[in-house]
Amino acid sequence: MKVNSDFPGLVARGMRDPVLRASLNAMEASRPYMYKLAFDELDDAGALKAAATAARRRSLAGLGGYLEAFERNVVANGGQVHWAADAEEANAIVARICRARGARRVTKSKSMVTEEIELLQALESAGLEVTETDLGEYIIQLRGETPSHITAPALHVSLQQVIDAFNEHHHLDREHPLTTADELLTEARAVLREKFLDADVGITGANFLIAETGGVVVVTNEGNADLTTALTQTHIVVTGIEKVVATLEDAEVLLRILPRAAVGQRLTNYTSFFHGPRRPGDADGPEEFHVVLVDNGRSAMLGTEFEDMLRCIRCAACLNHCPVYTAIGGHAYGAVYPGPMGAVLTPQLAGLAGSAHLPNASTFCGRCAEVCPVGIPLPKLMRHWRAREFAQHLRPAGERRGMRLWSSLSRHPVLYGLATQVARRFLRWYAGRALATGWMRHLPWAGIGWARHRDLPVPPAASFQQQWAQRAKAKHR
Amino acid sequence: MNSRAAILARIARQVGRLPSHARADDAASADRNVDVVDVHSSQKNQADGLRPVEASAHGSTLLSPEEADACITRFTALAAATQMTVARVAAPDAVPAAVLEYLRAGAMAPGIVIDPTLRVDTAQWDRAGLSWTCGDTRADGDVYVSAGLAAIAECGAVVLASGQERALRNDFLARTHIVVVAADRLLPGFADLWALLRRRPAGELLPRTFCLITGPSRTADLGVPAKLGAHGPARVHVLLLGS
Amino acid sequence: MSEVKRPGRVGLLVTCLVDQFRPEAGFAAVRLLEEAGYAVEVPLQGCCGQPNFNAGDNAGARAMARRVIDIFEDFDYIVVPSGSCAAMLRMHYPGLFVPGSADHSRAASLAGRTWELTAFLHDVAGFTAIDAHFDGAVVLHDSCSALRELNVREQPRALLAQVRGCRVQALAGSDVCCGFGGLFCVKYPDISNRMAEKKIADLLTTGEAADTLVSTDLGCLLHLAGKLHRDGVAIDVRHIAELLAGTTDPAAGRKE
Repeated sequence: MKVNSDFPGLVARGMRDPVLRASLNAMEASRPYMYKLAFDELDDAGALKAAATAARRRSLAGLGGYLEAFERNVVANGGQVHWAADAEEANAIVARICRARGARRVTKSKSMVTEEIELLQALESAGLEVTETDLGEYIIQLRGETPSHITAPALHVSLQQVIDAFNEHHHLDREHPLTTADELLTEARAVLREKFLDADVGITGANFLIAETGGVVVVTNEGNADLTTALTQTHIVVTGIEKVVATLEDAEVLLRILPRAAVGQRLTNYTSFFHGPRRPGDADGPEEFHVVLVDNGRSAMLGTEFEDMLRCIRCAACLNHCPVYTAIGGHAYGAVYPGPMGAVLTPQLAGLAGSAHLPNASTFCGRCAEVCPVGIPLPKLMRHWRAREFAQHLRPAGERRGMRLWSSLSRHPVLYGLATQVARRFLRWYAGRALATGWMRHLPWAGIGWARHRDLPVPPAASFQQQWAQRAKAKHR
Repeated sequence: MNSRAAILARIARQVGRLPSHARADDAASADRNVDVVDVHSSQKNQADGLRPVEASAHGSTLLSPEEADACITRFTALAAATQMTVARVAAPDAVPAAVLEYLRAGAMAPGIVIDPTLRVDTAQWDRAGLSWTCGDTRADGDVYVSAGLAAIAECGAVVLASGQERALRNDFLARTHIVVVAADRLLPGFADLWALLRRRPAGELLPRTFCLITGPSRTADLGVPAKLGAHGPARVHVLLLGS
Repeated sequence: MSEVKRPGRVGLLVTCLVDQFRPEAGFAAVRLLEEAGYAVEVPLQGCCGQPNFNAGDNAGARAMARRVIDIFEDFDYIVVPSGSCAAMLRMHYPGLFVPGSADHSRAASLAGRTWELTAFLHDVAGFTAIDAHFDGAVVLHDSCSALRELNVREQPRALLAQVRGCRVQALAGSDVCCGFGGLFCVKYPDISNRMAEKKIADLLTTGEAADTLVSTDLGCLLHLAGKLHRDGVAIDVRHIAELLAGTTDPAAGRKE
């Protein structure tokens, strides 16, 4: 999985972008509110979250067995299951199926794992025409971009930019240029309908796989997954292995909570259950039904301190509530999965070396863990990554030395007192004329980061402990 | 070793690696392998006191008249919140008139495509003054009248399923979608849908595809409030049939 | 000087920021605890280890934790004028050690006796004799650690409500991080700044225009005070202990 590690550059670009800033401000104002409304209306939101967490724990505790049961049932339904150890293998499997079916045109609905493995690029390289049918994904496909949010991939794109993209890429005979959202919708509907009708293969992701029935659940508001699958002869599901749940009831619990956590809805507009290919006598349905189970680093997380991350149902509540995400936007994370969940997952899937910065860009405010519907302790997992980085010497040497020094001083309070006194005296000297004002505008060394946007109150000549000791001495005279 | 074996082997190796104190809560859940798990406690809170229901041998749910009314009220309210309109129709014979009334109210032409599994005498459509074909929708703009498998009160959703005579794709291709659901298939909750689906004859599989739909196709990718008619129907109307 | 009426010795874990930047808050904390009837001591101490812990230096944090446990374990209560430092002891110390080990037991024991200041005064001491007067429109900033790690929300509000003349203003977005985050604010100054900007925008929209900002956590306060001063916004910043103790020291950075 690719990571663009130029975090400072990406952050700066994101923070300078007025379209992104407006979108993020709007998201910040609305999504937490929608989340709150959706959960407040329940008699016992805590019970639902606990049930959802239990369902996901159950999946992981019996993952091997559930995957095998799922496979058996898909096959009993007439479908086929393929296992892919990594991205390359998954793409090869999908390409092979498309070739075997003589496919030239492919439609697909939104799937984060397909972004992760870069399926679109692999299929295009294999000579296939692939159309993303989720409107947000379609928009970024036209613009040649990656998604900036898990559920709202085109969050960073303004209406005018959509108009520009349509004008540039659609070669339609319009009477006048598009100007409104309604016109965009009409055109998108027409253009994508052609694609749906012409497609040879339909590819979807999966929100959940049901072990008990061999079912694949896909949820959308647009209905594009249903059109993708209803109009082709081959339905390929590409999914991470962790998506399997034990029963219809477990799926139900998760289907109750996912839309609420993601977009503040009781249910998505379309909740579809796919159980294999066309049956003999069925009026419609794909001739072939394939499920590609993708590992790509997931099984290696089991039994480790990162296992909890496998519970993730990709609702993006953590993104929606993260003050860092809403300050910098999704592209700043430089990888497919942004926000708090991305900070935990990316080092696992892409390796720590190139993504070490991600778990560090957090204040550990804890809002993400608080809203996670399946109780993933995201800050704790980020801290685990920081611990690995420290142990592997991936942090700057100066930082390691600073930590060692700080630890040594703290364990010897007398030295701590002396060293901090020296530091305070130095700062008070450094303050120069500003000493009289009580505020420092400039700071040396590591303090440069502080002083870029903030002043610092001048530290006192004597620390609390020094003053306390002086008062104690005075009392005893 | 092929990938399937490698993946399953790694899973087997890794699961249970964590020290026992970290695995305490998982021990209990691991024992319940592929069981039907009891999550009804959370459902009760959702269903406004509407209890899961025992089904009769005929497949109809045994609700008291008060419970049935509560279901209809709840279903209608939730559907309205997602721009799905609901009307009640006494008997199959009255369906064509109800359809015509809906089309007239929406200034739509009185032409429809009918789901072959809809149990309405075709002569009734003519008598109502509707022009109709039976089978597949052809153009985007068509009105499709389909037979719903069920509806769920607590979600405000209708359930459409694939089948021997009906092409599910029409439910998504039509511009206007009218769904006829028997009132005794208006289920109180999700759990009742599973009961209904599991109650099929032995050896028969679940429907190949079934879909819960709460309203018109919508998107927020072009701004809020969400726009209707993104790819699928821009209008969805439910006719609840019978008492 | 108040009489010692309560059993139990209180050890004050002063915290590095209070120690180095705002001794006034430490003295206010002592005064409050003594007014509540406790005997307070301040053993010679260093840092609790939180910066190391958050930086992934588990070995360093562990060593620092052992030292803190040595210094404080004979006290009946360890009271901390900081949500984040109190949370370090209460929520994270035990996890630094192997379960079942002697260190783990000592850490768990210490954790159970550690309290953030307002939580101690309200929940343990049941202190309702706040004797302070402060004529001003005051905004309380909830630190994320106090809020989420320690469930400290009602306690500072209940105590502030007892300060005569104090007009507490509700703050929009009070559950959103201010952008301090320890070393985060110097490692990612621009992101930290954007978060501070939003917090200050909320500060400026309180019902009555706020003149004073208080919090249980000095880190948040120094960060916001620094930004307020840089931007020329005239809002005083104090640790909540100072308001509750009725101290009359100048606000952070002020000389008069």
